[in-house]
Amino acid sequence: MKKLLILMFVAVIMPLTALGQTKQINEILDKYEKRKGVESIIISPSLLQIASTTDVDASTKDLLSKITEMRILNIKAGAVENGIPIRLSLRKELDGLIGTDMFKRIVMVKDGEETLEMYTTSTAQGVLLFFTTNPSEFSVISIFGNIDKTVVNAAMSGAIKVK
Amino acid sequence: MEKIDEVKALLERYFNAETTLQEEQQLRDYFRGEVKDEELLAYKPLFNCFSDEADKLKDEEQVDTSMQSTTFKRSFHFRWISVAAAAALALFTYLIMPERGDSLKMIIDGVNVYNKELAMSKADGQLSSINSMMGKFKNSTAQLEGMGKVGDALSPLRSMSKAMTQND
Repeated sequence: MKKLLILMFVAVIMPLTALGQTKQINEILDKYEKRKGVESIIISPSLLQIASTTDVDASTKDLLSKITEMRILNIKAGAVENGIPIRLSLRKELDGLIGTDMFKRIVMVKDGEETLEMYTTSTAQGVLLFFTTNPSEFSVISIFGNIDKTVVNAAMSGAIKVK
Repeated sequence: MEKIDEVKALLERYFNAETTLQEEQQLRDYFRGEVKDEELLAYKPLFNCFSDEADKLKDEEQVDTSMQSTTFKRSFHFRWISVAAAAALALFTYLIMPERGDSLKMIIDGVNVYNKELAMSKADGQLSSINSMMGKFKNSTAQLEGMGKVGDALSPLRSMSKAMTQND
């Protein structure tokens, strides 16, 4: 009976811990999505497509089945709340999360005034995060789901597109 | 005294297999009580044995019934614990991953905008920007790979130079 209760406890708790990082990102994005000067877009994988490239070693269908949702948050440079630019508040909160062991930076590309950063969770079940910064806006693009090597490769090959 | 004679008569009929069920019950009732007659005392274990067995059977039936009730209670509790655990799991899943029904949702300045084309266009713009930057990253890595190949191609020259220096 004790073993059964422990199993039940694990069955309830394990999915919660696995979803922890996803939940934290979603909570941050939820917090900012309804503010002035902010644009939020949530897309289901059915509206995405994977362009075929030589670098992607999995079929489009397989890759899309691993993605559960995509969220985009654009914060205009002029969006300010209580005298503090929203982009700075958001970036601070995100830095607090990606600075932990749960996330790792995969790539950072700087091109003139534009910067692209790519982060992923340490566990496969998690999130792929892109931060793009330019003088006019700060954007967070998050791809949720089973973020394994094939999804990361597809993203790095520039193969994930909107239909 | 009359009673003893009556019992003896009944016993005789009992051993001749002539007693009715009612008369046999009378005999069992008599021997369950206190028997003073020494002759009759010898038959006491015979009739008490039947009644003792009957009592034991009754006790066992009662134990069986109580055990069945405990097992039923246990399985009943287990069933409810399972149902409660499943309900808790479903509730947590709902709380953590609320169904985002819409396949596409856009909010601009805190206002829901139901314009699929605009949302798709904005999303496409963002992904194109990422893909363009990733393209630059790929070009850079390709250039690094190219430099690596040049380095590999120059390695025989380095070996030659090293050999000539040693000869000097």
